Amino acid sequence: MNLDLYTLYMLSMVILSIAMVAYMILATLGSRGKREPEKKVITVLRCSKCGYTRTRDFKEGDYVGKVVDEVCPKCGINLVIDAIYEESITGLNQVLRNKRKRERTRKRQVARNGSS
Amino acid sequence: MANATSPWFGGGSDLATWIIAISILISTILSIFAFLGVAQGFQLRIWKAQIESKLRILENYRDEVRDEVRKRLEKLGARNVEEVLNTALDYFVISPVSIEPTDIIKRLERVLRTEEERLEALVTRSLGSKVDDVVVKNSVTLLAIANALNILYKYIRHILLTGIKTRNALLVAQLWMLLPFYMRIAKAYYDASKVIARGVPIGDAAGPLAAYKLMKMLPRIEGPVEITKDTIYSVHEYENRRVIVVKAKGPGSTVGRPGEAVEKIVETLSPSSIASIITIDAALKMEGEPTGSIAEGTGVAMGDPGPEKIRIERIAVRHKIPLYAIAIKMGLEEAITAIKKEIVVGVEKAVEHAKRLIVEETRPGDTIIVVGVGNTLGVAQ
Repeated sequence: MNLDLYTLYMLSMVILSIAMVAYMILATLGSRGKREPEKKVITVLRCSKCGYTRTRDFKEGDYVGKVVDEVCPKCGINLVIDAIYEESITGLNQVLRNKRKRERTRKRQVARNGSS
Repeated sequence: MANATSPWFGGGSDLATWIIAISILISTILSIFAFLGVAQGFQLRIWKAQIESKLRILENYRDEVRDEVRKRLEKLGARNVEEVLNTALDYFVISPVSIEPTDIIKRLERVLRTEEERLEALVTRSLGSKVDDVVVKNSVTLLAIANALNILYKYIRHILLTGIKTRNALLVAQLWMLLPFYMRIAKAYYDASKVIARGVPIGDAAGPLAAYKLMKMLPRIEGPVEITKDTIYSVHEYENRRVIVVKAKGPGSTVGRPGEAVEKIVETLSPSSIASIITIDAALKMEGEPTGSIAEGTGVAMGDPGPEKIRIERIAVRHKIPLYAIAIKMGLEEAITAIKKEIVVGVEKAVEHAKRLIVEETRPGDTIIVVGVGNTLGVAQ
């Protein structure tokens, strides 16, 4: 085929248009795929005598000011819920959590296969 | 160059001629479509499809919250659950007449209190009197969220159908443009329902949490005493001053009646001994401001529709009491979803700031009222 300058110009315009449309579609699909980071709620327990603190996952029924059954390892008195907050699981925590989740799913599948 | 005389007109290859011909044809058709309004019709269909897909998400949010409340009430042994849900989801409040402003605040207060009492009575009657107050309060808040989602869903559907019925492209376009904002609010409500069902404190609990921290930090002289419905106060000692801390009664989901409580406290005590009233509340941050940052100001930090705030303002004016405010900044979504660590850190800063304000602005022997404003879900006293 004999391609002159004008044809080359027109072809490049068509290719550019197709590339732009493809980019827009990919950008739209990419933004849809974004997922929010996983979050978990933490309960902070504090000893009202010595100030010892430790954290654990939130349990239903927890509220700030509640005296819980867990005791202070130093004073032996019951700990009080000092704060409750939510935090995002990122980096290594996220990896470990995902790994634990995968393991749980695998064990469940193995158990299901075994029972059937 | 294949055609040196005229590369742009008449001298190109066959392919180029076809491309030009097709381009001209397409632009001619599009121009005719634009004149006939067909293009607008196409655009309207695209907007409609996109709004409908968001409406399905919104409907899903509403139904999920409704099911969550139903399950919760059934688990607690409630009677006539469907009836309670139907009443609460379509419950509405009519604003008082505003062209006659005399006593509008009292009328608004009456309307809002009637709404609150009616919804609480609805849940209490269905659950029976043996159920814990915290459960009732949290269930009422969940019903209020289901109600908000239902109204939002119905409103968006109404605008869309009206736009299509009257072929008003501008109305549909406006809705389409505002939809991301509505969806943000809807998502925040949906997330809030999950948090409230579990009893996790929300961002708006920053004020009551600050009050709780002060109560635990300062030596207690008296209290806590319930001074008015769902609102408590306790008296503490700090740097030879009396500090009266007021907050909603937790850990159930309620904002209490802080305005009425402050009014009663001031009237009961000798008003001249009150050196200042400090309100601590969650405040909406501007985009770009960090969550949990604090700011000091003057006035009453309170996001109520007016009746509670005005009581504090009026009593302060009557007795010339200075009003100080401490704001803990957060976004709209953060205020109604699980409290973040940054906000808890902000609460600690707000408490220290309140203590500094007390020392700087009052003298030994004075009495100071500190009010932790907000929803006290998950925060006791």
